[in-house]
Amino acid sequence: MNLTRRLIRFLLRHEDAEGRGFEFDELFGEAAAGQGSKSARRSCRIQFVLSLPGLITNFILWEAAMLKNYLTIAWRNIVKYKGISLINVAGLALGMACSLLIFVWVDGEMKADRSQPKADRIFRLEEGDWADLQTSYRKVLGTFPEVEKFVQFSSWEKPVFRVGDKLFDSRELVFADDAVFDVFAFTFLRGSPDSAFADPYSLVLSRSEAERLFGPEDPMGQTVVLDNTFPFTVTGIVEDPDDFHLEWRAMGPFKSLPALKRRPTFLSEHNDNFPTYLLLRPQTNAAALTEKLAAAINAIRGGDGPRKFSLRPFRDIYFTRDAAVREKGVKHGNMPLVILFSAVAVLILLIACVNFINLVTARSSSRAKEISVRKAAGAVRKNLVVQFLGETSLTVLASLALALVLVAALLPSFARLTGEPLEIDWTAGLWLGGILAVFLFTALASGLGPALYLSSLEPVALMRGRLGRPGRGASFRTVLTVFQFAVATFLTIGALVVLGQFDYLVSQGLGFNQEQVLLVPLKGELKESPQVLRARLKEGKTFGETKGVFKQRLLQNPDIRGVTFISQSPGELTNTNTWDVRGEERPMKIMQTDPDFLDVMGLQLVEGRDLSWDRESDLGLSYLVNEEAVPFLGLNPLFGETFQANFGRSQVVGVVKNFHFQSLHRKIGPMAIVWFDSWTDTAVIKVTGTDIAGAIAHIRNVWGEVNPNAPFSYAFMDETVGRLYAAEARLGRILKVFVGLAVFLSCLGLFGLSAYIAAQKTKEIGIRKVLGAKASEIVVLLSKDFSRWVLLANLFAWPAAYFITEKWLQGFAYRIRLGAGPFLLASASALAVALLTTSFQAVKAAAANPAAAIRHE
Amino acid sequence: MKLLSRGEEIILLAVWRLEGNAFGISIRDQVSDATGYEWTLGAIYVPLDKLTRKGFIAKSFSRPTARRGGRSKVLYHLTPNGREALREVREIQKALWKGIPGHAFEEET
Repeated sequence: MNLTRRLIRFLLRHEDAEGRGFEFDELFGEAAAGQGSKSARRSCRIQFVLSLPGLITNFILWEAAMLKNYLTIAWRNIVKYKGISLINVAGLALGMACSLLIFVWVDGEMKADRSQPKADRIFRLEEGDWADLQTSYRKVLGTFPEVEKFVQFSSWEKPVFRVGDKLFDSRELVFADDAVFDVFAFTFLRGSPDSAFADPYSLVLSRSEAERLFGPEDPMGQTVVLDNTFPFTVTGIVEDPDDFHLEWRAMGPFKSLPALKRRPTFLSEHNDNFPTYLLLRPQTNAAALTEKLAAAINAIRGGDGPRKFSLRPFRDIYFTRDAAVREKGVKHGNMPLVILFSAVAVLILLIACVNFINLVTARSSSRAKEISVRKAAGAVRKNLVVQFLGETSLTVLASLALALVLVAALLPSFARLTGEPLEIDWTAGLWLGGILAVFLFTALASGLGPALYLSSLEPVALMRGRLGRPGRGASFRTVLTVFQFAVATFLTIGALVVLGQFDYLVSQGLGFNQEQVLLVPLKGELKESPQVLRARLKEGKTFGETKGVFKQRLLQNPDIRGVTFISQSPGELTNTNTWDVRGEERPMKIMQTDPDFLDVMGLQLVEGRDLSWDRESDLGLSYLVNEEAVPFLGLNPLFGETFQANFGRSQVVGVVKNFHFQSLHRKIGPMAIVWFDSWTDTAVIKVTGTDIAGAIAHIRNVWGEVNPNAPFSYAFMDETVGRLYAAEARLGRILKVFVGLAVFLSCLGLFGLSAYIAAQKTKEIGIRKVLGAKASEIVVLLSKDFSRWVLLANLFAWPAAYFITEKWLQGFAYRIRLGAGPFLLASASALAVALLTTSFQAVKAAAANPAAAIRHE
Repeated sequence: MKLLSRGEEIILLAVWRLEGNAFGISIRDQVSDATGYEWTLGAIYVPLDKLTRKGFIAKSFSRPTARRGGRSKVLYHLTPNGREALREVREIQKALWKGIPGHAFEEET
């Protein structure tokens, strides 16, 4: 009964709604009196249900009439203040487009590794802080009943691919156990996961890799020859595994590796190179299993004492940074960056909302008459709130439409900016939800404040026009404007610091020659693994012969000043050897190269002598160390005391000035340089003169003669080194855009607000001018308020920016000092931009004819 | 001028009959008695509003009644326009029935 009554009251929309409600009650009362309560209740319900068509018709007619009125008023307001409406819509649209784009990016980041259905049972086995394990552990892993399947990956092979008579570099080629398709799910376009690895010489390609190798041809069943020796058959095509943290474009079976590497013992060797994933049975206690695994592995490991092992849940891998010095081909996300960008998205949207709020409340006096008439006619506060919220939603809806157009148009540029392929599935629930969330957030954030404020105004005061004064609500707007400029200043400081640090990283250099230096990855016959080498020695060829010929032929070109071979890119040295100095372990970063290294790289010898081609004993047994290594090793005497290293009792013969063999994120540690050119895989070629293209052509020719069975490729050293800071460069680029947007939006709001205030003060300005005020004084009058606000904003922006940027800079071993520069520059430019914006209006107001102003009503 | 619908005609006639005491409930009772089946209040209100908008009936407020906690009832009155509209309907009906003997249906009863 009560429910019925409430429903009726809700549906009754009429000027006599109250009376009609009573009539229903009366009717029900009569029924109750006549028939007893039970049947009365029934007849009441019948009565109600039968009344529904009439009630609902009435309801709709009534609401439509009101809605029509609201829409009319909203439209009139939009049209009447075209400029301000334009600022509102444009500002909100920009803010929303920006948030939506960031949403797309964040969504892409969060999606990584989410598509694996067995993810909660998959763990990566890690040893200490190394993610890559030995193949010898395979014996143990299979013996645990808790381990349903295990997969080892190898990403170290870089064979040359031959398809027909065309040569290709292999790209992101991995090898994995047959179980890989049971543990991980990939979308097979052709072939099937069950049979893909039936044959040891089978190859599964990603779609893009298949296109690269085969073009429009059907790749299934075709042959790819690896290293001109091993024919692999394409047995499957999968969708590009972009959201999988281990990057791969082609995958072969792990069981082919012993043959491929010409090492029959490969599957039981002790090289820590292979990421290992376990699929556990349901309800396995991972912690307990870790203990057992560790014990079993340590039992067979032998050598240097027990190691610690741990299982890392699959889903935790993408966003970890701490793990594994030794991870190859693993993509990582950056959680702080995701949080930072999400925060920026919200902040920019808020700036846009603040514009809206400021402009609407500032205009409140112009709505005053309407509000008071509505109130006098009986509108309660709720009606007004609904009306204004609805009006805001209308503007926000228009902005949303514009924002979506912007998103569609800007997505490709944004994808370039972030350096990631971004796509929008316009029908996906998450995306639509994101749009809805952004819409609701914007509508509520920008609508609720003004709605509550406007509906709170007293009708009597409104009627008398008390609101005509600009003072009302000004403090509220001040707070919001201060907030806006605080955010804009904060972002500006952040961008300045990031760009400053980036410039520093790039300009600092790494302490060696980077200009006009080419890196040529060695492949085919030029890349002589020890095994191939041994075979070659049997054929009667001498040590490193092909490399030697290559080098000699290169140096025939007068523009090529020097050639050396190295084992790892000079900015990313991670190879570690452990030396035994008087029984103590000394882990050293090792660069394997040849005696021309110092000369080509332009490194300085501080003490001792360089490695020499003429001393047979220098090969593998004489080391150059950097300054950092001298106290670390504690040799006495430095040149003379021997120690056990990779190739036997060795000694140090020279000291090299410290240089950055890793990016500036890391401190320079002890490292050593040794002549051992059979393990080198990159040629470093120093070019002089201006004819670089000619030099490259020469290199290509020599390559074609010496090493015809491998494709030639090259890179510039400075570009390779620059890529070490790709993340910083990207952050700087993105921040620049955001800063621009934040400042622009803040100014847009300020522009509207100052236009409004100038209009409000028209009369005051007119009187002042008549009394003799100069134009400059008028400009000051209108600008000084804003300047105060902008300066106040610094108080909030500075500490926040200092805290965040200092935290970010701590991630670098070598960094700029955080001085006052960026802070002052950001604040000064914010002030300048604000003054410029407001003075435009101020000058206009000051130049106006005072007579017209005073007559203004 | 548009003709009244049958529902409007019935309501309008009820308001006329109840002159001085025509409000939601009394109109409903009157109409229900005359037609022989239960009208709902919702079905009364829609034509009432329409007639009000057309200017055939006007509203006034009764003296406050104790039954409604001191509030007034809304009472409906026929306006001259309403009366004219009824007359018109009646004229047309007369014209339509003209020539059909009054006893045409009587055989059936």
